[in-house]
Amino acid sequence: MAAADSCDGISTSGGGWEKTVTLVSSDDARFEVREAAASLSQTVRRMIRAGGDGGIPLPKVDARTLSTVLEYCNKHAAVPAPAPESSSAEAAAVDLEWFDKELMHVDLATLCSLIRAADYLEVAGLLDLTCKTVADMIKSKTAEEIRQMFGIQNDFTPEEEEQLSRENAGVFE
Amino acid sequence: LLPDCVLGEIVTRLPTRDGARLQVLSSRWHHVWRSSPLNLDDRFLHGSASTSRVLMILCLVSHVLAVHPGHARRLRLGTISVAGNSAAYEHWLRSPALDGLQVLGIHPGLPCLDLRTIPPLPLPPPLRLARTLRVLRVGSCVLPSTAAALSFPHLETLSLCGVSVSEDALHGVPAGCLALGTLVLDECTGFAQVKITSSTIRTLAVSVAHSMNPMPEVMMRRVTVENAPRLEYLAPFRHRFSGESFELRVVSAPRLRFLGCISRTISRLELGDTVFKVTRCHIDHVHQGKVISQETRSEMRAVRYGATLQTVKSLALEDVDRTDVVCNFLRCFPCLEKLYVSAGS
Repeated sequence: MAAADSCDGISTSGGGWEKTVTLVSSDDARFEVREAAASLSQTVRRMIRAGGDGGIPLPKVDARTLSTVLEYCNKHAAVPAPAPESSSAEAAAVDLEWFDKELMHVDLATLCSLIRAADYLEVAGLLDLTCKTVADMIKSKTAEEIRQMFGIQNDFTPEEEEQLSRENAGVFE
Repeated sequence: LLPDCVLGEIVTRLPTRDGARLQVLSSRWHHVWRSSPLNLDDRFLHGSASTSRVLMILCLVSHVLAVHPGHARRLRLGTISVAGNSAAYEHWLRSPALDGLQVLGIHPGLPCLDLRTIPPLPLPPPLRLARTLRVLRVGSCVLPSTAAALSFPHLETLSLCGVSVSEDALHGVPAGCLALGTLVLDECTGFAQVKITSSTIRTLAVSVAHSMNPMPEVMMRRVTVENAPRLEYLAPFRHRFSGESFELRVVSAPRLRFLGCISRTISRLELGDTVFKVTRCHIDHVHQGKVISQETRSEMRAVRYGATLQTVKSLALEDVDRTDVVCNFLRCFPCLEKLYVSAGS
């Protein structure tokens, strides 16, 4: 194992030799990942640069969430450069879109864990995807439905709420 | 639950009106909405019956930009004309509340406006938004004419529709927009020709200005794709009533996969060494061995054959109603997978 950095393995995925790193979840599960995939996380990228051995500790992410995040990173880092004169670029984009959609078929609690992890790990694409998914869930719902969804306690008096709604109606169409 | 700043990331991805609705949920969400990255679209704003809508929106936009604590994601203004409000635009586009802006859309007038009568859009000094702007859509206005006017290194999409823009400003785009993937020049004027040299561009769509609009001083006459190694989609499109035409020349686009619509709006099409030209031809209508009528038509035909275009998989032809014209095209595109043809009007 290299002493100067966190790269502690080499794998042959993708047809070539690739560096891997080990990530350690809050509940001590270890994940060996290609460095290219792990580097989609700006947080991990910084830690790789900083060096250290024995794996990169991620104390704010549990194993279940981390495995989903890494599924996303592996898929998105695997996109090959499209060969000229082929339609593979388009096919890859469609495949990626489909993959993202499938990944978002989870309950709200899992989505929120993923958002928290994507925010902490700074995986911009995943943060965008998860936030968009929750925004889409909110869009068509009434205020009461959204409160139930997120378990929000309404601390406004009826008068305050009425006034805010009136202001909204005056400004927005 | 989630920290406020992360909730803000959700709120900013909602349409303006839906985001605003969240402020009634609780005092915490009221705060989250107010501090989330700005996503302001003036189509969702309206004035009360007593005030004029435009004036109301003018006040609301100014108010929001003045009180918002900063950081923005998206701004779309489609109601307020630049004529008479140039100072307001200048003030807004320089507002610190727009720091971090990623998507900017400005459509400040009706399409058919006479662009000679309105002042240029006071785009902010590039540095202000250059670090973050990814999408810029501008419609029906005049852009500043300096070469550096459109200089946004992270810009992915630039869409100009009915805009008057100088040749200098357009030619500054490849150097100023290093990540540009999509360029749309829809009915733009103010330049006679545009040359595209870009290592990043994948989609280029162009159309010539509508001849029914007030005629501008300079019409687009030639589009040249000099060198675009990643260009895949080239879409010269035609507006239904446009009688104007332009020349399209592609010198190097080794990944071109989709081409079209090729219509009468293109007077001359050069793809490498292959040249198509609108030519007049006489057609005899024959019935029972006798010529019963004669017709003269303008048709696009290859006048010089060069290397075949093997990368093109999809081709769209418009104004074509004879098979020999289609065959003439097919000779040049041996690897087509899809062919779209619509008959002439």
